[in-house]
Amino acid sequence: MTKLRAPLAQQLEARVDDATLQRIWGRIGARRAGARPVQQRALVWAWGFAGAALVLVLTALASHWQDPRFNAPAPVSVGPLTSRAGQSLSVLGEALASTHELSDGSAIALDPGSRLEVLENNSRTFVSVLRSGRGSFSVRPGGPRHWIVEAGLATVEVVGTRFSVARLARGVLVHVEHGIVLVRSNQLPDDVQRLTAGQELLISAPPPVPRADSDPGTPTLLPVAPSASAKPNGGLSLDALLARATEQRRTGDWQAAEASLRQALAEHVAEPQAALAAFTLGKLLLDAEGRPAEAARAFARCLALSPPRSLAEDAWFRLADANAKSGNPAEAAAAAREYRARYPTGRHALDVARWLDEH
Amino acid sequence: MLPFANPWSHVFVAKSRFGRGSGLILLEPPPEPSDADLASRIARGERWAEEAFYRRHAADVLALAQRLLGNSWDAEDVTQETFVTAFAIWNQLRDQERARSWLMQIAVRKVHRQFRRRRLLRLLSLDRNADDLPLDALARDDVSAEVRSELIVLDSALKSLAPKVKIPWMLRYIEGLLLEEVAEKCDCSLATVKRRIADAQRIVARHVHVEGGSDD
Repeated sequence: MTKLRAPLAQQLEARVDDATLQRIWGRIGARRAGARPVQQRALVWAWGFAGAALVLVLTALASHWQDPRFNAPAPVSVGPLTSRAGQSLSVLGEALASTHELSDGSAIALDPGSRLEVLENNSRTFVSVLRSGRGSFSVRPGGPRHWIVEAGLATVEVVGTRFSVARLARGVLVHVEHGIVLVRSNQLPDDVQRLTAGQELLISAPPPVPRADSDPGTPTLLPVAPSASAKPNGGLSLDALLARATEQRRTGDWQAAEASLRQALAEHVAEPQAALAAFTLGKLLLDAEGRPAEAARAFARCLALSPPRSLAEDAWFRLADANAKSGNPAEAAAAAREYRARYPTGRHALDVARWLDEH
Repeated sequence: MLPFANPWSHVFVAKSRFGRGSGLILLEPPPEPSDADLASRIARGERWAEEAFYRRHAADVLALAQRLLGNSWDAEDVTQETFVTAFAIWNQLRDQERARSWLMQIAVRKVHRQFRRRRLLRLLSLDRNADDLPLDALARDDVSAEVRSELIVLDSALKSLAPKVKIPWMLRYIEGLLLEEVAEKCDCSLATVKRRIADAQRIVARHVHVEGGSDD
């Protein structure tokens, strides 16, 4: 089990730069220039607070009355998201345009020919990948789930807002109608961009880079990593292989990511982080590739490699899930009972208890 | 280095390198003023000293706020308000040698206030500011993937805690402050701080094991 060592600040690095500090200094000057004497300021605060409280109460009441979501059934915050009718979500989209209203009041509208696959769906997280087309997402503000939409070149993270993601031939287009989202992509400066209402961001595919060994007159894409069929590149450290697999998953190259993780397990099985490689492989096989039986084997292998406690907890839960999805209810129940015995107050305890009650 | 004017840059000490009578003079800048020097000059209304004090401590205040809040925008606001407040109530600083500690105390108060503000906004569904600096995002580049995954779990566990127990735990285990220092920063008694840290530790320990910091 990995142990963190206090003080943890020694392992952290703040995001501080001169430009930010200079900007804050400018804001301090502006604030102080606008400062009022203390007594006058106290009076302004008192009146301002009273007025703001009144406005907030009226706003909250107005939105409560006007918002049709409040006439809907109470939002489901425990367990995975489902459709409003209670159906589970796995793949959304079809030839025609479709709108999917979800159990927490959120909604997803897909253009014709779009395809959205749900990768992870539980009481805290909703992760989906937009394989093609365009999707508009209206996420209920203040909901318990962290929404992530993967779209190849970019990852969009959101708390509560309305935005759309489109996979185009020239890249990925993210448009925010309301609220704030974070767009992560290795095409962006510092890998992240904050978008607010009305802003739009197009992340273009990287330009072709000529390979060193190719004809300079014939531009070709430099692969992020070897494809699954390529001969494994020996000599890489486990960290490097894990990082490569992460990058490959980010770009949607599942087969290459699987190859990297299998290589990591084959070449570095004695290292402490091998369990992490096995766990990641299991997640990939279960969530992205829909191969639950193989995923169950990967999670079992992870547990055999003495993972750290937090990883072990997730691995037991995932093992139960993978076995259930691969048609092995007895083994799923055994893993679920093991989870319950080991982690009675664990992160997935509610989901496991409910599943055991139902089966 | 920030592009601020250095108030000391025009002051040099003339010093003969080769002794009396030599024609060569080495000009050396004097040592940087201490916090106490700056504090007393700020108290006398010297604006350049405020700027020098900000330049010396702003990065540490911002870093502390980022770790405690996990949000770059909120951390910038807290840094701004910390210095605005500090300069406004500078005459309340009793021990000028401890100006930095006093500043950090103000920063922690501002972090508490920011958490309260966010709770109110979330209650009213008005907070759409996603936390963009979880602990794993702040991890140094040379931190292993395994430690990074533990930091993800720790961050998730800390998010479930109320600020009044979370902040003392973070000051103790993340910042490495002594219990007495945590009590001072949180404006509460040593016994209260111990109880709050223990409460937080019970929750955190279910998810990750953090060594050290438990000598109390």
